Amino acid sequence: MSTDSVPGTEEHLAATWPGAPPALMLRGLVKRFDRTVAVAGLDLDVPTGSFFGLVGPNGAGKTTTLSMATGLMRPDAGTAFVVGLDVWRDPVAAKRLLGVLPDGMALFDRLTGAQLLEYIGRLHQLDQELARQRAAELLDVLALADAADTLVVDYSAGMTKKIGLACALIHGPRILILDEPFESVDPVSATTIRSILRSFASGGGTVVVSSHVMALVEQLCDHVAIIAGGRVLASGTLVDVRGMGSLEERFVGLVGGHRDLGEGLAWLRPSPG
Amino acid sequence: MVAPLPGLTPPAASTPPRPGTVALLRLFVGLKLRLLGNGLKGSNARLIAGLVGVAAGGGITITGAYLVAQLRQASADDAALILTAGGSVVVAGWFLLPLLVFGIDESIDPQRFALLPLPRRTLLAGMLTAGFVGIPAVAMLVVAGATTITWSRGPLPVLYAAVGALLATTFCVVASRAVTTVLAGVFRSRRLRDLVSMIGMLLIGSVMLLQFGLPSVAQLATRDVIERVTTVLAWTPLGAAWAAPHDALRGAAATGLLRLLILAAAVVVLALIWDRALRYSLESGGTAAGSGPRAGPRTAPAGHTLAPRWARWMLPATVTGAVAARILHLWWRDPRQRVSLLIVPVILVGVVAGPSLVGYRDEVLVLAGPGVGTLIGLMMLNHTAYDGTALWTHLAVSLPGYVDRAGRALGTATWAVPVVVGAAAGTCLLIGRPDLIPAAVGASVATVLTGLALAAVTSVVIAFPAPPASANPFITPSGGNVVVVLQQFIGGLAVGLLSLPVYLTLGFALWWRPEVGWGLLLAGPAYGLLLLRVGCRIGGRYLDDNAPELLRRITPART
Repeated sequence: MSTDSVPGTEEHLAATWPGAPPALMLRGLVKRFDRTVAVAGLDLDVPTGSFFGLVGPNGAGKTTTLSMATGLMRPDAGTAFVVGLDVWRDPVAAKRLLGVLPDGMALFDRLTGAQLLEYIGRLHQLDQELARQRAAELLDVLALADAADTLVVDYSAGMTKKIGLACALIHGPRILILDEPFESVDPVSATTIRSILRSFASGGGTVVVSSHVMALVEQLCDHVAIIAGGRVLASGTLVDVRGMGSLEERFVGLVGGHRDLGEGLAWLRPSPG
Repeated sequence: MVAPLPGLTPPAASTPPRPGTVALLRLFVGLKLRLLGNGLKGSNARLIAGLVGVAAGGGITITGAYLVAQLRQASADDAALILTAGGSVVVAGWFLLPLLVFGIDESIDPQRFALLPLPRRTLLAGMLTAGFVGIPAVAMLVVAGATTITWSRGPLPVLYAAVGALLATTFCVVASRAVTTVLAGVFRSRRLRDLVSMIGMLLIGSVMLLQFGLPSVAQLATRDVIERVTTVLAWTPLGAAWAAPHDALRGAAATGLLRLLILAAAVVVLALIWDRALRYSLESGGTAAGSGPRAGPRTAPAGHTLAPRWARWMLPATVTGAVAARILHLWWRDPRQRVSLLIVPVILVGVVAGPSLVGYRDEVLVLAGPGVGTLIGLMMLNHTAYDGTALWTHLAVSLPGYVDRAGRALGTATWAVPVVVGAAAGTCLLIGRPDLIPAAVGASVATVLTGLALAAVTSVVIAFPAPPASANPFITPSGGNVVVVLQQFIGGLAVGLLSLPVYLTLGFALWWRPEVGWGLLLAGPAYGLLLLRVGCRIGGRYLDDNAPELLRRITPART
């Protein structure tokens, strides 16, 4: 793995082989917590080279699905394949291809930014010098160079997201799986992250992002899946899924639950006129 | 005539009438009662804990009030002495109480009212009133009120006792609220939070050590000394309320009045401090913990490369070496572990240097080195949980369990082995028995490695959520139950059992044949390394098979 180049300059290895396995293939994933079923038999194909958006309301099972797809949570049934490799049978080979940014999980935050990146790089069996070199490069691109020697625990929320993204990138993965990568990120950093992801995707990499910001998904992704109640309600190219209207309209139509206000909350209207 | 723009006129007609102050106070009291009630709901464990708390509170109240009332039989001097000394301790306790239970009593957190249109005075009054609702305040009021029985030897003493009891209880409630509010401000900065939690943990540690010294302190406390101390306390807010009735009884009513005035002034001053702290806390916008004032780029960089320079020769440029380097950093940067680290020199000074300075130089002191080694192992029993959810990074690369285990052991051994070797050799020189050095050094290294070996297994097999790095040291979140305590006890027992051969051989060398020590110098570390290898293998295999489950197990439950 240490021979791979930095993301962006990667060659179009896995662009479009006929009959090649999809970048990410989820089959029959099930997860129960006590009595609630978080994910109920979920199937999903993420084509290689796609920029894939995963949307769904709160509690739809997005995070649980991504945790099971990346080997952080053992599914009760079903499994996930990364380019044909079973994440739960052949974890080392499968996870080598993945770059992961989970939501709501801590980092080793008592290390400095530079140390954290070197650490993650070396966990991926990069050579020590190479890890340091890539760490410096990533810190620079993400405008974190000033904070390289600050403990990650003292980072702001947006900086923590950025260093998390850098951790996902440092070993040069083929597939990025990012859970809510734009949450609490300021617009400038968001633009940086977007351009990094775009160049990663245009270099032949596959990106999976989850989000509940429809506009962002519409702007960024070429494929989407709408998830609710632990199942996939719709999946395919952005154009196919949203049809004639906007993604938001399609989403609300599929998921339901929208209530027309009617005459409710009348007192909230500032003036009778 | 400008037509009213729609949207600019405030919704005047629909504003509900403002409740009066009394109604608001009633609302606060109701809220506090509701919170106390809801605190019992949810789980049986909480209900039982709550009921035990109520029973204990009730028991303490009745016993305390009974004892205080019984002092009516005692002579006036004795009663004043006991009440002033005991009362001062209780009042001082109220300052410490919020420190001890910080994070538990956030029930009436001022931050939650910041957005409501409440004047600060009203908020203050409401929080004060709510502060009186609760077992500690009621218990305090009842026991303090019982002093009226003690002093029912004339109308003026009873009056002084009643006023004193009210003032003292108010003082206590205001004190605990003020300390909480001030602390809430302090705790917003990560560095200060780290510091406070470290000081707390060190306090606990030193109190435990102090227990051995208590008998000698008790000998010092003669009646004469106590009398002198209480004379001073009686002029402070701590003891004023308890001494005043006695003054009234012996005809010095003016002195007593002065004491009560001191207490009343102290209440006012504390209330002002509280008010200022509250204003500061409300106006600083309630930033979430962790995003407090940042130090920015620090003058002394915390390190650019992973492995610290001094330890580089110990830590290979492998994945194991990377894990070890991170663990080594944690021993200093994580307040929980820094405390464990700092306790080691405290113990060494207390157990070895102290006694030998006063002339106690026995072979038994040699046990200190291996003892510290075992202690370091015990500190590591739940070590994996200190990573918290960050452990996911190891899962995301499928880090082999053996590498994870070995890296953690290596990282700790990097500082622990030199420290115990130095301590062991130093002890032998201090007591003038250099011939014991091989035995002491061999045994110390062996106990460190044995402890690490067992920790490699226990910290995954019987892991439980650790308190967050900057949390109140007095709270063990979700999982501080009987099973956990039992498991940790068994883990400690196993460390002891596995180290037993080492200690036996050491004893053999100490008191019979010092030359056995050379054997221990070789065999001890070999035994430890063998155990460590086995431990890493067992722990590693368990981690390989159960990593996702372990990650869930050590994730602190959200409250």
